[in-house]
Amino acid sequence: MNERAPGSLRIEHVSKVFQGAPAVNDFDLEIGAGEFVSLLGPSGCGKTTLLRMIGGFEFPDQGRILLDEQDITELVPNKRPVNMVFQRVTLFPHLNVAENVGFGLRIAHVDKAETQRRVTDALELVRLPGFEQRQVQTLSGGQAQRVALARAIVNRPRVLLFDEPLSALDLQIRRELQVELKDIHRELRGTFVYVTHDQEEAMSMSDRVVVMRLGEIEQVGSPVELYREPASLFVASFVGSSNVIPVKAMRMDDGAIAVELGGTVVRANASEGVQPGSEAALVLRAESISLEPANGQFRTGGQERAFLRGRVADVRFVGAMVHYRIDVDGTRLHVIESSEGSLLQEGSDVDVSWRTEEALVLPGAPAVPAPSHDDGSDV
Amino acid sequence: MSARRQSWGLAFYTAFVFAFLFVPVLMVVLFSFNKTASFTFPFHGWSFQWYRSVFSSPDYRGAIWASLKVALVTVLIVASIGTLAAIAVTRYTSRGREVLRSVFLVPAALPGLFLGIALLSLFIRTKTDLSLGTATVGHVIYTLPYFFLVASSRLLRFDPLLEESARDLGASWWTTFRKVTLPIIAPALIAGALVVFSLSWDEVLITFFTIGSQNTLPLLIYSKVKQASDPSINAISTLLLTGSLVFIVGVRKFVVDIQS
Repeated sequence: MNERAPGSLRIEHVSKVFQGAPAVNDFDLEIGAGEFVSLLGPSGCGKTTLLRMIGGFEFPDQGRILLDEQDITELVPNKRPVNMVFQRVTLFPHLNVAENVGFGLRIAHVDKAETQRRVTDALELVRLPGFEQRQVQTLSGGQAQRVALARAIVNRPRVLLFDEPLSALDLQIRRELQVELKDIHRELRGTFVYVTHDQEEAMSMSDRVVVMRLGEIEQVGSPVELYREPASLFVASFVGSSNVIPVKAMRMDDGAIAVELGGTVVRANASEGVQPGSEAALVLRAESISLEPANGQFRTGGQERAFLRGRVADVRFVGAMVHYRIDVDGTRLHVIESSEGSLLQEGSDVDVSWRTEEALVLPGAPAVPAPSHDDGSDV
Repeated sequence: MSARRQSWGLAFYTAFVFAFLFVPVLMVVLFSFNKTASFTFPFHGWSFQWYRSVFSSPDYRGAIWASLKVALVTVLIVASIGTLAAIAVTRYTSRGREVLRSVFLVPAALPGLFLGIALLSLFIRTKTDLSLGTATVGHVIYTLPYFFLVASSRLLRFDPLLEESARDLGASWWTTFRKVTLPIIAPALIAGALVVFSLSWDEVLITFFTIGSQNTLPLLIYSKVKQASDPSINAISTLLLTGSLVFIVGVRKFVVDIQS
């Protein structure tokens, strides 16, 4: 691949209104060539609309979309060096696998031998070697989406677009394909833009994740950044397995803030905009919390560590990890620990603690109880 | 015992209904092969003379040819207009789609007599000479709704993402239509075309008002029946029946294709 690998995207202040309701609002993002970027958000957040504007199926009301510094905002889909893998299976039922994969090449008048060679290569890349003559009706859901991927890849698009291509598949096949998709990205080094509402999917595959909400960017960052430093309550509750607990911010204290939780005052990092006396939320990742059997004497929190007393309400053993639900004076905490060693008993008293710097306080009250992403699978 | 008697009764009743339906048909077929010119029993023996007289008669040959011309031209026009109309209504309207669909279906609900008279008065007012051409116009109006119904039902079940995929892979609108949409909906269009052909092939009422001095096959048979008892109408009717059966079987095959 040459030095300036093509496929960089620049989305400049793009807005789109559907029947009076803004679907995408002043969206501004640069995507580097070869980057794997996910657009993550709940349904209706505008992520699919944005993807369809990059593909040419919708046109922005405002703003521009540039591909390798060339304005493609108004180009029709067939004039864009961009290909899409759709949510539903969209293989052409009257063509076999090879004819489906070679469709774009035939349109582009690539000669027969070259077409055949590239179709074979593409099918190998998606782990379906020898499937050329199969009828598409005989394929499983996972195989069909692999063929759809091959059909897109074979044209060597500068950008590959994915509109929740795995959402209709079984969990196990979905996980398999996620791993393969990342491998394929590594092999092709192309630009991938991937739309999903599955946070684990976005986090596990992408270089960067764009969390969207109501047509706007909520936060952009690497999966680790989003996980460790969520910029808002929305991101915190959408990404990873965090406890999001409503608290009352009490006073600032050396860059940290003191909040009250379960009758105890604990210190935590304050994010911008947290005012003493205002509504706030404590964000605490499940694996940052440690548990120890209560040994009678109760330790109080200090600068470094916060301590609370709780009771084990529920134990769920899931192989390498154990998931606990801890009741701390009416507040439920979700805790993940390694399953090595002896497990805590349901109903027993525990000391709950975490390093102060692992806790983050964000402004605002959590609107709904945080969704549980506790066992790493979504149903 | 009474259950048994009931089932015997039901069998008898069913046999009676079937006999009522099919005996007249079988009589026509049987007597088309009759040696003599009688329409009733006794049957005098087998011969093909009435078929020979059909094929040697310039009247019949002219009428068959006229019917074929009208039906084929009707099919061509209706299939083109109907397909485009179905695409327009199912793809490019969101509001009022159902209203538009119903409006397209109205001519099929009008009495043929009414349609025939309406067309005749139109042609007289516009001083258009009646011919096979004007009859074809009548057939197009009468059969278009049937074709439209078949084509638009198929298109409503057509996933628009298939077309978007084709566009995404570099196909223009026209290429997409030719290489993706048309091949996929073709069985439905062929079934629709067969329906149109068979409707046009034995249409009498509208044709009667709009054809002028020429004859299509059904009109010729009608006039022969009125004039005198010519047993060749048994032969020509049997030929019509055979043609229709072939069409029904053909349509069924395509309908099965569509449903699968």
